[in-house]
Parts: sequence; C-alpha cells; structure tokens
Amino acid sequence: MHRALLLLLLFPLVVARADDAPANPIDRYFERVFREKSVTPAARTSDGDFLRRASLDVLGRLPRPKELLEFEKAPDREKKIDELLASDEAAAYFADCWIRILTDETFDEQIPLRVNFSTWHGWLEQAWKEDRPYSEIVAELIGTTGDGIKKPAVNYVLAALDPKEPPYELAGRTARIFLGMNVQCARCHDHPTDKFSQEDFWSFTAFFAGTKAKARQTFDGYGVKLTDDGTVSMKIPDTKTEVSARFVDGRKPEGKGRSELARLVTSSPRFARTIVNRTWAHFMGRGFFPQLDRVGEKCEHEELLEALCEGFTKEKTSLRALARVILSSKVYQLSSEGDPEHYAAMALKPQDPIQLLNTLTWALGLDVFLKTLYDNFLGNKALPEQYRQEAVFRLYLVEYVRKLTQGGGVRLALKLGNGKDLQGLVSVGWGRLKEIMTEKKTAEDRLEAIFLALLARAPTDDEKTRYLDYVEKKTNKDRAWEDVYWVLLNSTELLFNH
Amino acid sequence: MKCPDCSRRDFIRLALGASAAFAFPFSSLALAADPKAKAKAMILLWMQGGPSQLDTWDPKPGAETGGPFKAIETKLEGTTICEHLPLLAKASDRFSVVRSLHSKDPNHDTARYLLHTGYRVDTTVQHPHLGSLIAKELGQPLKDLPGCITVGNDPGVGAGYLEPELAPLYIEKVDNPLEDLQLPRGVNKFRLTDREGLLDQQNASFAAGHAKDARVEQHREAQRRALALVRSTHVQAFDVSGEPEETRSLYGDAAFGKACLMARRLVAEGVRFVEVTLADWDTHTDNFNRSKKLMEQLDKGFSGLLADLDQKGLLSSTLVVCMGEFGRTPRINAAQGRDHFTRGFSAALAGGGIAGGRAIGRTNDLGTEIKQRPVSVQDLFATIYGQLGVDPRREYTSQSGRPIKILDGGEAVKELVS
Repeated sequence: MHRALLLLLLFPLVVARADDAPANPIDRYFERVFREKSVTPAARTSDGDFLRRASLDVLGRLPRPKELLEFEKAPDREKKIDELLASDEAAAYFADCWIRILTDETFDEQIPLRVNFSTWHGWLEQAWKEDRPYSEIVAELIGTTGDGIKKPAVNYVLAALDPKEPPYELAGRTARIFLGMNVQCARCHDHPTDKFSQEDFWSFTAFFAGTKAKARQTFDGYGVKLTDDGTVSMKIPDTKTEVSARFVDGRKPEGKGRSELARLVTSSPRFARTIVNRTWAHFMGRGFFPQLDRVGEKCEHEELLEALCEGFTKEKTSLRALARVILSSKVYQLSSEGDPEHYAAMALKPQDPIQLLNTLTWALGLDVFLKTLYDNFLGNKALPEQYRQEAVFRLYLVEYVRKLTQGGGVRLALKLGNGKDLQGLVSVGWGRLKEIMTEKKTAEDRLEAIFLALLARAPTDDEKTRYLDYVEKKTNKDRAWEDVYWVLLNSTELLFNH
Repeated sequence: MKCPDCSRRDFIRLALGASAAFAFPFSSLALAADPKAKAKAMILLWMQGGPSQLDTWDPKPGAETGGPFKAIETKLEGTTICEHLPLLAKASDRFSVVRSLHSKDPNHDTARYLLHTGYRVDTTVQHPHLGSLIAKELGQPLKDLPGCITVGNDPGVGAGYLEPELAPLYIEKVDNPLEDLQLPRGVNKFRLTDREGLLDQQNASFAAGHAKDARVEQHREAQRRALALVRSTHVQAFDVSGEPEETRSLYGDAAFGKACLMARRLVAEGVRFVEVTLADWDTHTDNFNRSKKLMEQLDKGFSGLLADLDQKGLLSSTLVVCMGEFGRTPRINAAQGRDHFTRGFSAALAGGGIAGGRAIGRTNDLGTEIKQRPVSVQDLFATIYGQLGVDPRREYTSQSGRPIKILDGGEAVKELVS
C-alpha cells in the first residue's frame, strides 16, 4: 500500500517531461484510440496475473509459487520485465520457438538427418543472451555457408532444402517467415488476385540457385555441408524460361547468391513490419495482420505499427527491446476480463505446445519420468546417432503435445482428464502434490499451495469454501486432495494464458 | 494448376475471428440420410506414404518397370493383382479397383490433405476431414460416441469449418485403445461425478469472465464430450478382445488387422466414419521387401474386414475405400525404391452399393501414363459422397464467411455402382 502511494506520488514526475504524453508509443497510441472510440479499457491486471502472463510469454512456463510470493511483495513490473528478458530460460524459450518457426512447424523423421538441432538451438540461445540484432541473426540464417556444427546458422537452409528438388521450399519459407509474404502459390501458376507472378517466384528462388547441401564422405553423424557458388540464375522447371535473381520488390542483386539475398531481405521495409507483427501477435494474442505470412501495406493500427517499426530499427533491431516496449505497455497489462476489441482487454492465448509441455512437466512432476525417457532415447542404439540429442528429444515431445491439442481438444481433454499414463501421477504420493502434502499441514495451506502451483493465484473466498467443504466431507482425505488437484489441472483457466 | 504449397499457413490460430466458426448448411436443417443412399457408414483404409500401384493393384509383370513380383488371377474383369495379395484376389468379387487415379500433388502433407478433403490446401479456408463431413451430414445416432474416429495415425486434418466437436477422434494405440477411455484405477463413476461437478463450477467462473471468447466454451464442450465418452457403455466397441476367436482370426494378429476389426465394431455400433491407417508405404528405398511386408498386413486385414462385414450383413451399408495420398514411380531408383507419382495410381472400393469385380481405368504398359478412363480425386470423392447420400453441391459457410461446397467439381464414377 505504501509503495503504491509512493509510486502515485512519483508518477507525475516520471511522465511530466513530454507534455504529459506517455513515454511508451503503444500507450500514446491507445490512449487516443480509447478516447476516440469512447472505450473504457479493462482494469489493470493484478500483479500475480501479470507475472503469470509475462512468465508464460517470455519464459514459456508458469511462475513458481515462490516467484509469485516474492513478486507480490515487491511488485516492480519494469524490473521484473528486465529480469525475465535477461534470464537463461528466456533464451531457451526463444530458441524453442524459433526452431519451430524456422522449420515451419514441420518435424519429420528425415529432418534430424540433415539438421543439427543441438548446435542450432545453442546458437539461437546465445543470440538471445547477447541480444544480437535481429537483422544480424537473419542475415546469418539466410547467408551462411559451412557445416551444421561449426556454422549452426546453416541449419535453417538445411532444414528447408530438399536435395531432390529445386529450392522452392526454401524460397517460399524465406519469404513467409522474414518478409510476411505467402508467394508459394506462384510456384506453379500466376495467382489470379496477387501481383506476384510465377516468374517473380522463380526469380526470387534463383538467389538459392548456387546453394548445395552435401553429405560428407566420412560419416561423423552430422556430415552435411552447405555451399553456395553464388549462381543467381536458373531455369523454371518444366519450361524453357531462364530467370535471373530478382528480389520481391524488383531490386536486382548487386552481389552474389544467398549473402546478397540476406542483405536485400534485411534492408526491405517488409522486414521490420513482419517481425514486429509476429512479436506483437506473440504477446498480444493477435497480430496487426491476422496471418503472420500475409503482412500488407496497411492495417487498422498502421500508425502504431509504423511507430514500433521505427523504434525497432532505431534500437538496432533488438528483439529484446521490442519485447520490452510491448511488455511495459498498458494494453499488455490489462486484465483479460472484458471485451478484447480495440485491445481494450487482453486477448486469451491458448498455451502453445512448448508452454503446455512445460506446464505439464511442472504440474505432474514429469521431470523424473522424462529423464528416464530421455536416457532410453539416448541409449537407443537403433536410432541413428543424429537423433540422440536433447534438442531432438524435446522436439519430439513438443510435437506430441501439439498433436494432442489438435482436433477440437477432445484428445487433450481425454489425456489430461483420463489418460492412464497421467492419472497415476495425480497422486498424493507423487510430484508436486506430494511435496505440498508433506510441506503444508493445514487444509487451508494445502489448498492455497495447490492453487499457486497450478493456477498461479490464491483461491477466492468462494473457491476456498467450496474445496475445503469438499475435503472436509470426504473420509478419504488423500483422494479428496487428488480430486482437487485433478480439477485445477483440467480447468480451462490452466490451459489459457489470460 | 497445381498448388501444393499454399499449405504453409501461418495462421495465428489465436485470432479471435477464426475461433467463432460456426457452420450452417444452407439448404436444409433436416439431416436425415438420403433414403436412396446405399451406405450408412464408411471405413477408410488409409495407406500412408503412397503405396506402389505397380506392386499392388496395377501390376506390370515383365515390363521394365514391373519389378520382381508376379501377378495373380482375380475375379476382376480379367485383370490381375499382385501375387502378395492372395486373399484379396480370392475375394475380388467383393470389391472393385480404380487404376487411373491422378492428381498433381506429389507432397505427402498436401496430398494427404487433398485425399482427405477433396480440396487442395488453401490458406483462406480449412476444409473438414471427409469423415467429419459425413458425420455432420448423416448425423450421429449415438450422442456419446464421436461420429468420426481415426485409428493409428493422426490424419492431420480436423473439422475445418464444421463444429470443432466433429473433428476426428484419434485413437493412438490400437493394441490398447481404451487406455485413455477407461477410468484409471481408483476412480469410479461416483468419483468422476464429484470431479466433474467441481470442474464445471471451476470453469464456469473463468467462462463468465471471458464470455467474449468462444474458445473457452469450446474447451468445456470438448471436455464434456471426452468424459461422456469415458462414461459411455458403447466404449466397449473399441475393445476387440471380446470378439470370438473365429472372427479375430479372419483379421489376423497384426495391428492393422486388429484396427480393421475395431472399425467394424465401431461401425456396427453406429459410428459413421472410421479411418484405419497402414503406414510406411513411402518406399524410396527397398520398395519391394517393404511393400511385400505391408501387403501381408493389407491382404489379411482388408479381406478379413470384407468377409466379416458380409457375414454380419453390414457390407451393403458400409462403404470401404482403400487408398493413399498418391502412387509411386514406375521407374525403380538406384536404391531399389520408387518415388512419388501422381499421374496414374490406384484405389480399391467395396461395399455400400459399390459393385464387386470391376476394374475401372487403365495405365499404359509401363504404367507411366493413364490410357483409359482417368479418374480425378474429385471424381472419387463424388463417388464416395454419392454412395453415402451426401449431396456434394450442398453449401456451407467457411470460417471467413464465404459459401463453400462440400465438393467442388467431380463426377461420380457410375461404372463402380452396382
């Protein structure tokens, strides 16, 4: 209370410098939007909800009870944001997310044979830790040559390159991920509604014409080497038309091959718009453009998008700086209870497969179980050596969780609510619940600890009455506690980042 | 015009708009099946990976593309099939083959989408799995069993623009299908009722605070369906172990055969659509040894299914279709494999009013081109829908609000119909 008062007193001093306009461009923008549309935004989130939201978005996991209690005692959100962004876990989640993005969320059994996920993951983590400029990261992903161990960035190209096919997938993926353009339909035909012709598509693909992936003679497990002889012309398959490299905006190359493409991509005005849109969608639950690979010239919040792009460029394309601006904004910190139209309330985000895997690992005490599974995986000599890496193992798990969430959610509901393998873990003799039952002795303390562990908040008065009554009435208390744990584990609230 | 890569959608699946997708058929609200329809249910035997037509339904013994297998006589209008399908050869009066299928999509994921929806991947609309559509159109007689079930392989296609609850329910383990469906030890129905009651209250307050987001109610609905399934007495249909030995022996001990038996049990219980997968047909290397092993399973499972459906009087009302996402090249590569091929591949159809013993379409002597009666994927789908009494021209509303037909184009293959 005193701290809040103090903040209130200091607040005018902090913001007074720029004619009372908020320093954060997002706040400036939405202050006006809310006024013009006569919208009353939802309330500010509670500190606990803020921490849950930001932990999921930045670290990919729920906050731990201890972190919650500490933060609620000293709820400095700005400081917390910096702390979260600077943590190793943020780097790991960043790498997890970007491997999925860069592989187009496709993970099949062939990919580990040519892609070294361990070095790639490590390289991405390092990039986040050093806060390397996004333009530098992307330039390396697109432009590097070498092998997947010494030059981890080449794994992006290796993942998308099918040695039996012309490099159209690589071209299409590059346009989608870094330029927000879905042009792959033009591979086979001129699109009726798009300006991008088949020739445009292949001219763009020609930047990859000299790129070759070659498995090395000596098999050392990761023997794929990527080269680029700089060729920038090719024939459109099944035609006689020869095309020379031309960028999506018509620019001709001044240099050679992929390194020149890297320069053109990172200097395109689409470059910043695409990543700003993606980052915004990650944190806000929806993009300025509803599809990440269809970034247009104008959107409803064009002025804000442009301001964010400008700031992004000014900050040397730092992804951490971009994340910080969004995380510190008032709209990010609004409660999700309300109407999310015009960003007047936070949109719900279903946990992504990485978050959900982390949530379940925590909630069900799967760490031990996964360790055994991982050891078996590593020791499985039937698997080629390339598979036996932690990063690959994790991708398998994430893919498993992703599949569970598909198809209307019935499978996930079945697994969480009734799955034989998981139900044994909802037990007073196992994992988190066992810990709570041992550490906390009164019913009230136990209930609160379960709520903190699973929902990252204390129970409301209603909830307290309901669950304490329930436990009270049951003769088999252990079972009653397991029921409570089961209910929260299966609750809708748990599944969403709210 | 082929467009295999329009697939790569990067939808923000979180987008609020897309979540509120409700589909209404335009023409009528009455969903009773067409009284003229022969089939009331469908079983899809999905050959994941793309089986080699030349080593199964369309053999070319002696041709340079023919490979080492011999062909054997059948009751199919003077045509032969591969020697490693002997049981099916004997039962060939029960099914027909189409040997002139063609598409333009040689990529697994997008071709699988095409062969499960009748549509190419489109970034602006997600089409429903054909089983979801069939369940929607025919209605589901049992409320506690899903209308569309897939066994052994996640089809990768969901309910599309239909209600999310019509999405295929995927049963992962054929050998232990009830793993997630039976109450775990220590939890009886009374305890489940306690839990469900508490869960409903817990979810109600979150739902009240987030009434604007349809996904919240959708999750609760999925949960209710999941738990209804757990409680359902019909859930025993998944369990093949109770079948008499005589019946089980028809299908054999392999996972695929067991899954076929499970499909028959589910269909008998009233489920509209069951998909059973036989995977690993992607034989870029060692095609012949691998295909031979797969055919053993296919031969036993498929022939057993036809015999059993017939014995139970279900064959005339159950359409059985056996197909994969494409065929394989006539050219045999250096690794004794065959690669993806779309310019002439095969499928087999049976039951549900499909005539037996017919062979539709022909490829040339090397199998490199279609010579007679090309059949498009849309034609195949029109045939399937026709047999089930589903009007392929009926319109739904896509997620983005545009009208969309169950099937765009395609003519039913009349020669297949008895």
